[in-house]
Amino acid sequence: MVYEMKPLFEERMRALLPNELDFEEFNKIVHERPRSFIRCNTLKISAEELFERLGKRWKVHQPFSEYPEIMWVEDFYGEDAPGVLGNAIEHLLGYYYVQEISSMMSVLALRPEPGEFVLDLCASPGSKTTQMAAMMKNTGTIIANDIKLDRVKILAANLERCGVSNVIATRSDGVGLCERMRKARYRFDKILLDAPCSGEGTLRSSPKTFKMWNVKVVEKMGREQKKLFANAIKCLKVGGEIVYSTCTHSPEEDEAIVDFALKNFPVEIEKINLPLKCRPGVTSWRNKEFDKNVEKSCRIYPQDNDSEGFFVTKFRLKEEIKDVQEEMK
Amino acid sequence: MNVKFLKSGEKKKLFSELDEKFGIDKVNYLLFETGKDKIRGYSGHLTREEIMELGEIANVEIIGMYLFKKEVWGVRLSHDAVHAFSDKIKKGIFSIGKEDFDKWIRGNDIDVKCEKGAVILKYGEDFVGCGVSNGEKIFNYVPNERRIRSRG
Repeated sequence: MVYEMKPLFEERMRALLPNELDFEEFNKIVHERPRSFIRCNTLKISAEELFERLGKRWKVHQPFSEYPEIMWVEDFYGEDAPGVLGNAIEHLLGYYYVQEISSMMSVLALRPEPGEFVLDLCASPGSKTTQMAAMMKNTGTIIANDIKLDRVKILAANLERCGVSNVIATRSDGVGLCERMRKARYRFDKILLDAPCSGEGTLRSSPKTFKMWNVKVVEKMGREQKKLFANAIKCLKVGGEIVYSTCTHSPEEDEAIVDFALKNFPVEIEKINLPLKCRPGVTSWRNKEFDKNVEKSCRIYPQDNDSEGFFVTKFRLKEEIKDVQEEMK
Repeated sequence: MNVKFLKSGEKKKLFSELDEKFGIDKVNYLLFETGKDKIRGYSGHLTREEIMELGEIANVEIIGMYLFKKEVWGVRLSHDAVHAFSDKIKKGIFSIGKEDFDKWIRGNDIDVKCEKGAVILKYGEDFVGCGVSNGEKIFNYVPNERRIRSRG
């Protein structure tokens, strides 16, 4: 079934992509199934070994020399791809994770290191948690949280399959968890806030998003994301880093949150180098002007990278947050 | 999550059995028992006291990974523990061919004669799980979601 953009969604995307050709390219690619990317689980096998094994059966590429764990399997497009890739022996043994390339970007931006204390606030299904655990070589600790038990169960299954042993998974609403952790003086080196969103970036893999899209959801998500950010940031160590990411294009859920962060907390945006083409964040949207620094955010468009759409920003906490300082007295 | 950290006597018994059966001479995890005689291992930096404190403010569902199951006759490795200890396992290994592997990965028991008790299965270069042998047959413990789903 072919879905079309709702008129308001199209109007908003045209405002974000004012060049007609650019918009047409966007409109074309969002109706095509995405490429099949996998990420080698280096906790179980080296990228070199996996590449060699899979290369005997499939046409596999390692598109980024600095990230050999990221592989693109050319043979599989379309609806059968997840089934074939998910049913392969190497997948069942936990040697790789089927993960869309743009969704790998938040963790590449955060760069968790061995021994660090990391919070993954909205963790399920675990693609980014397992990616971080591999980068941390199963050391340090990741507190991986999600709100619902069925989602935590999916997270647990993926952690087991990937042989992840440095994670403590919790089930809580993110705001409440952060509030309790802040009071108990938990402070993390790094936080990943890959926030629940309206999913505009996932049109290629989930075409039903065309039908489900609703501006009220966008506005509601924006409010929820601000609450999540405001609470998560208070659990960060001074000098620590937080990555805020979504799989949506709407500025209410992206730059508006970055603007909110810059205006309310002692944070600065860190420059990030990602292996995908990034466009700068938009500095105004629907009569609202944002802090100029939101430009340092990274907008990932599907037509630029033959990927899904994504948004990533990385902040560093410069000093203790005031109300936290008062609580500490 | 109900957590009971293993006492030194319990660990000593477990380590001795792992060494004797599989040649695993080192277990670098904080070990604890959850329900149903399952032993999980955590490789992170928090101490047991810090984990207990965390449990007071957060609804902890999972810690670390499932490694061992205590059976009446001894200890069995979990499906994924065979990878976690792949560089340490020196014995208790049974190599299978393609036909038996195809049965195994689809969740079927395999009819082969080998020593009774827990046995680690290897297919080619891969450790593919841990089964239990009665001498005539190896019983399958591949979790449902980790089996190849037959088409049609």
